[in-house]
Amino acid sequence: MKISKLSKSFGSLEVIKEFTLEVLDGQVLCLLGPSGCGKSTLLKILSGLDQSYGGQLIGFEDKRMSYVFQESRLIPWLTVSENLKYVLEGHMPDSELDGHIHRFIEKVELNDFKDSYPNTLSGGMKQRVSLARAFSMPHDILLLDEPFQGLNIELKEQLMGLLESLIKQDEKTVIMVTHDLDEAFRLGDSVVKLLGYPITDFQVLKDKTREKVGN
Amino acid sequence: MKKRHAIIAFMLVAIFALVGCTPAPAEPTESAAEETVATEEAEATIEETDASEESVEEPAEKPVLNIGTLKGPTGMGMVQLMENDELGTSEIDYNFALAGAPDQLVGQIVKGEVDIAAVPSNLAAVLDVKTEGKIQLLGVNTLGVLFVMENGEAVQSIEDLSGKTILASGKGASPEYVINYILAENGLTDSVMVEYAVEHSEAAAKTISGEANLSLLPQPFVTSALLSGETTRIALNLTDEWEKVTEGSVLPMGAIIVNKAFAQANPEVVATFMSEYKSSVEFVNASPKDAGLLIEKFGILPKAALATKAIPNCNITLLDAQEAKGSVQKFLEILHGFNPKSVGGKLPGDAFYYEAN
Amino acid sequence: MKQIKLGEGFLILLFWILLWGLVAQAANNFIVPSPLETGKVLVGLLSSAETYIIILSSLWRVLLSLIIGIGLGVFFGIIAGVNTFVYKLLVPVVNFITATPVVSFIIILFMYIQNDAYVPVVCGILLCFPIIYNNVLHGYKMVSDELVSMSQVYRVPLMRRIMKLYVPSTLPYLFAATLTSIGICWKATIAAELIGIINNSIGLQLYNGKVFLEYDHVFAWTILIVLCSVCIQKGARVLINKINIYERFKVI
Repeated sequence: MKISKLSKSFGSLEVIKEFTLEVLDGQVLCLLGPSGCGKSTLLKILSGLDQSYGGQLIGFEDKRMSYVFQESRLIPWLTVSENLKYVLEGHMPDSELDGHIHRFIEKVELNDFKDSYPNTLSGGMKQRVSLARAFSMPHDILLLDEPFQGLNIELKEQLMGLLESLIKQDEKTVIMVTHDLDEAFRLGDSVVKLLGYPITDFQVLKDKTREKVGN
Repeated sequence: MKKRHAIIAFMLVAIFALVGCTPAPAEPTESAAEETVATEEAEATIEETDASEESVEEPAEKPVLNIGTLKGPTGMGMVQLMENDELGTSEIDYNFALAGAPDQLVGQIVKGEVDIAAVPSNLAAVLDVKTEGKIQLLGVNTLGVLFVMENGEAVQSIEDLSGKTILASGKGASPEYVINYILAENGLTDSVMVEYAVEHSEAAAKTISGEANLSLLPQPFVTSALLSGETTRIALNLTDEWEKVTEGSVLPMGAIIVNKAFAQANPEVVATFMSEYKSSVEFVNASPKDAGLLIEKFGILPKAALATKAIPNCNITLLDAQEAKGSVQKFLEILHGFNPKSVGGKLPGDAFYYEAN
Repeated sequence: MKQIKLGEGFLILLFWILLWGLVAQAANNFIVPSPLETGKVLVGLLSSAETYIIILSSLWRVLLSLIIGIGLGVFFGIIAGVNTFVYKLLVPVVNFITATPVVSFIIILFMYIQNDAYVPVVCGILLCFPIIYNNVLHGYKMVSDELVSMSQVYRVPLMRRIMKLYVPSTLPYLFAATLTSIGICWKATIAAELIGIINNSIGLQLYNGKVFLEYDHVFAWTILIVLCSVCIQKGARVLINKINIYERFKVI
């Protein structure tokens, strides 16, 4: 997959200018950059939420996406399982649906809360539901936008461990955007620093995939 | 909580104390009687008429009479009174209250703010019952003002209504009972359909536009429909039809009532009023053109020309209570037959009819 | 808001009734009926079957107005929320209806609608439509952008989005609008019934009371009208609470 000469402006403000980056199938790519530099915008464009941009996204067209936002974005009047059902229904026969949902709620260790409403959950727990939702949805690419933003250190540790194991089990392409070096290095096969304001280039800080492919 | 209850309980006690101490309220009619004794300065341009002084008080001061009347035919007969009052040539100092609808007068009548009022005759009966005899019928000032209008020439007599539909207005009021009675007496109840418009003006508008072929309208809408409707004519005069089916009884639609206590205390004022009123009525019927101008001037009808044209069909008259008693009683009986509430639930007795001594 | 206890309420009511009695006694004429006279008429009305038929007739009209008004309000509210062109087109219409006094509608409608009995219904519809419309529109706009984009990225089908996201989001606004509309519709319907002298209506009872100078009837019926209004609104609230389990989670 390739991001080719991507450009994005908000009115007269250029945020991304002719940015090119190759993304390898199955890799965990972490994009580093300070807050507000436009990395969220980049992710939105990749996900298809933002359709107005210049340049090309090659290889992204037929890919199914899962997305983990900064906020948990759970529907307040649906329970945890119902929130998952909201996005999952229709992607598999109904008979399998409940089992599938149950499995992923288990993976994020929220078994006891599957019938709870979001307002009874803590911030960390809500984000775990968001992760369950993202991973349980059949996807080709998982996009994460600063998923541990605003959580305290211990929580971050916990969730990162969880995310690590989930990614390992998942074996799909992951693109994560963050400003935290530790996160990036711990989770990513490739860590790339976004350069420029607007974003025009990148610097490779770590590239395991090259090693994997044996380059 | 307890404190709140205590406060409320205290208020209740206070109210009960007040109720116990309230003096019997003064009769509303007494204030009216007192007013006649109040002095009024005669206007500088006063011109004495030939009539002899009839007021009980000092010759230079005129008695005051508060009259409530309605816009429309009911009030039309009084215009000369109004004019003379303004010029200062009348023997009584009149204060006129002009109302658009009878409801507005009811309050004033009951509170005694007016001594004499012009109201629909059935309302007079209702008031008699509701005030428990505090008002009396002084006379009838308007006979029937109801007409069946037609956009066409088909209806020449009452029987021609058979199989037709009439658009009427005045549901729940005299027009409804009058038309129903006339139809019933002519055996036409089942063959004539009467529909009701919401208001007189709506029925009039539909008559003028031709939307309603047959309609039942009161004056002054009859005249305005005649003036504005291209094919509109008067098909039937209900006053005549009424007389036919009641063997000569007139249709007394408008009445003059008087506050009983006032009348008893001031019979001379009442008599003077009746005679001045009679002259006014004669004037209006004899000189419609001049009357029309006055009618517009005092706001009883909006246009003088309309008034002048309407006068002949308005049956403005003045019959005193004893003269009109038979017709009025018959009229009230018929209404009572349709709906007792329309006359207050029961028929009035002889005491209802004012008798001049 | 402090709740008034039953016992307190009773005493307060008693106070005002006594005050009313005083005023009536001071006036001492049939124009101001006393609580006792009114009470007598009221009892008479309550024990007559005809009263209930009349009340149901008027209620039925109000119900009809509400159902149609809510239907139209929701329909156009959502369309206007989705489509700006429709929204702009409807702005003058809604503003006009909101600004026009009830009686203007009543008079105009009676002129043009053949069957008088429908006028109160149309009047009610005209009155509650803008309220429902505006509230639904607002509710739609208030649906969380975050949740909308989440639904988008997960490609949640439109129907499910409407049922699980948009409808529950808008419901609280709709319910608030409905409660307001009930009161307004009720009053407007009766006013229209009175002006139009509609058979089998509460408005007619008020009209008759006025025409026959039976002010104790006017007072009694007015009390009945108020009682009905209170009952309807209470009933509506109960119904809404049953449906609106989402209320817990929405912070308006």
